[in-house]
Amino acid sequence: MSSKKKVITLRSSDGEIFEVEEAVALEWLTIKPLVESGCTDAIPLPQVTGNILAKVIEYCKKHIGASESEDRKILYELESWDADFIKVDQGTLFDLIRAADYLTIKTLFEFTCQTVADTIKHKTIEEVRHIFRESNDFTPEEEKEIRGKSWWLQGL
Amino acid sequence: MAQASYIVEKQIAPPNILSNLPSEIIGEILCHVLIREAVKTSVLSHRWRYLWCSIPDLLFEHNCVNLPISSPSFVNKFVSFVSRVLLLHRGPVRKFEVAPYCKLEFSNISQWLTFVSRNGIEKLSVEFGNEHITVPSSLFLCDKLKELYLAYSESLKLPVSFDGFMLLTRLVFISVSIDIHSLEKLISGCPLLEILELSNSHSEVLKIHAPRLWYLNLKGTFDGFILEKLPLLEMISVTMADDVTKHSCTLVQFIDKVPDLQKLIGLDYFAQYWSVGMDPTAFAITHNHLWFIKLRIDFEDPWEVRLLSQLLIGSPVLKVFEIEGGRRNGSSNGPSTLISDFWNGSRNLGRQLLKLKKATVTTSGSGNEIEFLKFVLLNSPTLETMIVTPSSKLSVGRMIVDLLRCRRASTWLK
Repeated sequence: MSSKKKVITLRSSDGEIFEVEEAVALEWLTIKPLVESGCTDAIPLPQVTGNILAKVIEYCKKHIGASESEDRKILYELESWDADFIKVDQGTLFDLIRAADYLTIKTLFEFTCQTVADTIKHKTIEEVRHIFRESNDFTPEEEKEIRGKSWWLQGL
Repeated sequence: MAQASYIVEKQIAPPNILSNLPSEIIGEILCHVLIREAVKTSVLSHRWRYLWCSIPDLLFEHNCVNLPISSPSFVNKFVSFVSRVLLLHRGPVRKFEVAPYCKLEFSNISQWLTFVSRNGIEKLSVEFGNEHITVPSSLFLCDKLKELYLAYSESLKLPVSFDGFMLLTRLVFISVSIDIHSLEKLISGCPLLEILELSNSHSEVLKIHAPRLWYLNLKGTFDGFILEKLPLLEMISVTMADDVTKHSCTLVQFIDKVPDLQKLIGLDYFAQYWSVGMDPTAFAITHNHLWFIKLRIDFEDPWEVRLLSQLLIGSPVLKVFEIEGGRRNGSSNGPSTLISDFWNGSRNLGRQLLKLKKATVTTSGSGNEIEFLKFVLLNSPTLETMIVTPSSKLSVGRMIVDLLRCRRASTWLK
C-alpha cells in the first residue's frame, strides 16, 4: 500500500463523529472549500443527524467513481444496490433529501428526488394525498372550481 | 425503482411531509415527473396551487395531452397546453423541450421561443415536425444557450447581426436546412462548442472551426470537410449517406488536423469516400491516441482495404475495432491478388496490432474477408476476444474451419 489516504472528520448535529476519505468529502460542494483549505478539525454539520449522515456516507462511498463507469455490469449492480439502499421509511427518505440538498451532493439529491417523483407518478390527487398524508385545505367548492375551470386538469 | 416507491407508499408518514419541504426541493421533485403530472399537483392544497409554476425544466412531449396524436384536435390541445403553462410560469426556464410528433405553426413556436429567451433558457430542444416551417428568429434572442437541438425544419437563417452563442457547448441539427455559409458562421460563432452533430445534412464542402470541439458526428451527404485545427477532438463519427465522387481532401489530411483523436467511426459510404484518390504509399501518419475504430468496409474494393490497413497499421494503441464487411452497391471491383499482396506486404514489414484486445467483424465469408481475419489473428499478440458474425448462413462451416486452423499470435484468445 502507498501512503495512507487523507481522512476528513465530520460531526453530526447529535455529536457523532464520522471519518470519510477526502475524495468522498470533495463531492459535497457545501464543505468542499473547507476540505480544500486543509481543515483538520471536525467539520460540524448542524443540520444532519448521525443516522442520516451514516446513510449519506454509505451512498457516497459506494458511488464514488462507479457512477461514471461505462461498464454495464458495474452500472447494473449499482442500480440494484441503489434500489435496496432507498428502501427506507418516508421520514428517512425526506431527511436524506434535505441532507443532500444541504450538503449539495448532486447525485444523491437527484436520486432521492427521483424516488419521490416515482411515487407521485401515475397517481390520482387523492392517492397522492393519502400516501403523503397531505391535508386538503380547499373547500369542496374551491376544488370543484379549480378542477372544473381548467380543462387540462380534468380527468386527472 | 418500482419496488422502492412501493416501500415509500407502505409507510405511515408524518402529516404533510411533502408539503413541508422547501419550495426549491419540491421544484426539483416536480422536474422528475411529466409536466402534466406536475400541473396536476395544483389541486393538492393551497400551498401547492402555484408551486409547479416555477419548475425550471419544461418538457412537452405528445403525452402532455390526453389525446392520441391522430386525433384532429390534438394539435390545438397541445399548443394550448404549452401556451397556458408558459403563461402561468414564473422564474427562470433552464430547459425547454418540444417534441409533439405533429406539425406546429410558426407563430406558436416563435412566441414560445421569445418567452423562454427572456427567462434565461440554457437548453433548448425543438422538433418542428413540419418541413415547411422556418426557424423563428427569436431563437437568436436566447443568448444564454448552452445546448441547442433542432429537428425537421425547412430553413434556418442567421440574422445579419448574429454574433454567436457565446456559451453554447452542444449543437445538434437533425434535418435542418441551412446554407453552408450560415452553418459555418454559426459553428465558428460558438467559441465553447464541444459537441457537434449534424444529421440528414446535405452540404457542400463544410469547414469546421471549433477549437474546443471533442465530439463530431456527421450523417448525410457532404461534398467534403475541412477541419481547421481541432486540438481537443477525440471522437469523429461520419456516416456518408451517398456515393460521393467529389472530394476535397484525403482521410490523412482530414485526421491530420486532429492530433488527439481517440475514436473513429465511419459508416455507409465513408470508407469509399475517403479511399478514392488516396495516396497508396502514404504510411507516414501515426495516430498515437486512436484506440477505437468502427468502419464499414467493402473488402472487394482494394482502395478501401488499403485505407483500413493504413489505419490499423498507423494506430499503435488500437485496442478495439468493429468492421462491417460485405458488398456495397456500386463499389468498384479490384483484382483480389492486390489485396493479398498488401496483407503479405504489411506482414513482412513486421507491423503488428500490438495492443489490440477486441475485434468484431461482420462478414459475408468472402475470400478477402477471411484473409483479413487471418491477418488479424496472426498479427495481434494481445487479442482477447474476436467476434465473427456471418451476414448469411452460406459457407459458415468452411469459414470456421479455416479460421480455427489459422495460427494465432495471441495465446489469450477466446
